[in-house]
Amino acid sequence: MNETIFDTTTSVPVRSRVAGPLIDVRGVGKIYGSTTVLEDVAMTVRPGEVVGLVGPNGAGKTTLIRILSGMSRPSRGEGTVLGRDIAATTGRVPFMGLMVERPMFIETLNARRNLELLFSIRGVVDGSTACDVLERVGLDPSERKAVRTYSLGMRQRLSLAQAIGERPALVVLDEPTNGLDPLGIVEMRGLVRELADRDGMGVLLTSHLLAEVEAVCDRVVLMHGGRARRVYAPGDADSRSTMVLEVAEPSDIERAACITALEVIGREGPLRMRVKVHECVPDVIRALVGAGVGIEAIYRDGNGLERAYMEAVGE
Amino acid sequence: MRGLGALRHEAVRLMTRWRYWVAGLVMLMFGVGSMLARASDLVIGAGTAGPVPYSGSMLWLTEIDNAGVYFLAWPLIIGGTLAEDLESGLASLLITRAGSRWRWFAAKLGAAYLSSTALLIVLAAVWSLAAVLIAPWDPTHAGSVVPWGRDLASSAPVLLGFGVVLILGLAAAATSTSTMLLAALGAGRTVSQVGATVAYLAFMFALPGPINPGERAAVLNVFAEWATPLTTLAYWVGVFGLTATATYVLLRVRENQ
Repeated sequence: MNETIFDTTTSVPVRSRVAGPLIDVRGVGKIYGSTTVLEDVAMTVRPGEVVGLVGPNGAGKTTLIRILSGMSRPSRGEGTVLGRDIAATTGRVPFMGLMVERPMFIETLNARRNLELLFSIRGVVDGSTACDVLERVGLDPSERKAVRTYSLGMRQRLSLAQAIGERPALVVLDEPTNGLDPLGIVEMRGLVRELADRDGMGVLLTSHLLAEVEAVCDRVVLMHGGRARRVYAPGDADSRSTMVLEVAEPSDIERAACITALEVIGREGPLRMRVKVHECVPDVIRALVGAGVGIEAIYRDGNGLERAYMEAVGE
Repeated sequence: MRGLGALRHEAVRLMTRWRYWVAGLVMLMFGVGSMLARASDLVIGAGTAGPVPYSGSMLWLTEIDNAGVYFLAWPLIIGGTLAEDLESGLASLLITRAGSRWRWFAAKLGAAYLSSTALLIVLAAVWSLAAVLIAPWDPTHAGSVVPWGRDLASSAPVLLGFGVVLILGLAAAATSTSTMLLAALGAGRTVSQVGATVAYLAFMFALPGPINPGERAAVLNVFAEWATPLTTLAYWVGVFGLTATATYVLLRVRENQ
């Protein structure tokens, strides 16, 4: 695998040179003194894929990101990030876009000048790219105000701009929605999906907003106590077949439980339950109506990640 | 890293801080004020009398007289960036961009030296001009103290002044590195800056001559035999190198804690 990720003449990611996953690590562990903060974590991120990393504070997310971004060596484990051996004692830090949690810039300069300076460190894109990428994240390239006047949301956008401006094959976003207003969160979600779907980048992101993670990610790694407890895939067949059924009367719950087209997996109050459907939704509805169940609503469970999270954290 | 992008980033970062310019202005006022003071009995370290060119030697005198002010100010200007980077997580971003920790750290050290020297060059130019303008009203001929190269001071005062500036820039960068050392030990921005200032004061008052910056300045004023350009350069290179190396090692150790 070649470590050159970019064709520097065109600034276009040369993904064909990165065979296989962008991140492919196994058994990763980290021990600080006598404290184990990360243990036996495996992870894969492929081009065009958005992978989430969620867990409570102290779960090991930051440590894992530091290892994946070349900031720290693992105590054990193996694998590669953009072709770089994570266990190597020395070596070039992988070429990736990195968005840190608390974005910090040169306060006295405007956004464009900040980007130009940051881009000049690696020199894979020229300064004119700054304007394009600022527009893409919703900032005005002609804005002359210094960054010190920016809100946290604007800083987040600028931080994202510096992460994606060099068109890396892999982007690591640490709390990208932190400080954004609701509209900004929606825009960020769309932009992250666009990076994966249109640009083919691999994206690894962390967030405490589970609904947002579920909405944007292809897979989510649930971490707790330094371990990857579970991998949740919002779009897989298992997640898609989990529905919420709301009924008119408490007795409808019992009638619905007798139908073979679905399986009750949890009750949430007298008139609502979570079910796993075994047939297509119209057939399930027909079966419910045929059994005399008063259906108020049936919809896909949008809190699957939250439940998986609570289960993982509660283990 | 290609070219000097990381260095440029750090240098711009330092030189666009308001403290950088305010400190420069303060030092400028101290320097010119010192020259004016020479016209009275309040002369400080004026040295021996005698006709000499003013541009190079006057710079020396004003700098040595105000070395304490200069070095005390410097940690407050430069030193906080490492603590800021470590606290905010920007260190992660910049190290990743720079390609390695060492390049990132070297850019910080280089920027400290460049920004110090750039400010000193500006100050030296103004001080020299002020010295020439004030010369007719300077009865003490304070510029007569030329610790190094009396001939050079006569024949090429600008060259002498430039050499002095380069060494003083190194001294300033070495002083600011002590702040980075404290940051590497885990101190926050304010603690590292104030701590370095206090440490420098301790150096000024507690240590014996050869390793005491303030004492060295006083010794230089009276022409110590050993106070040659080479020993002075070696002294500051040593301080800079030791402090920088200790800081870097601590940063690496901290990564694994």
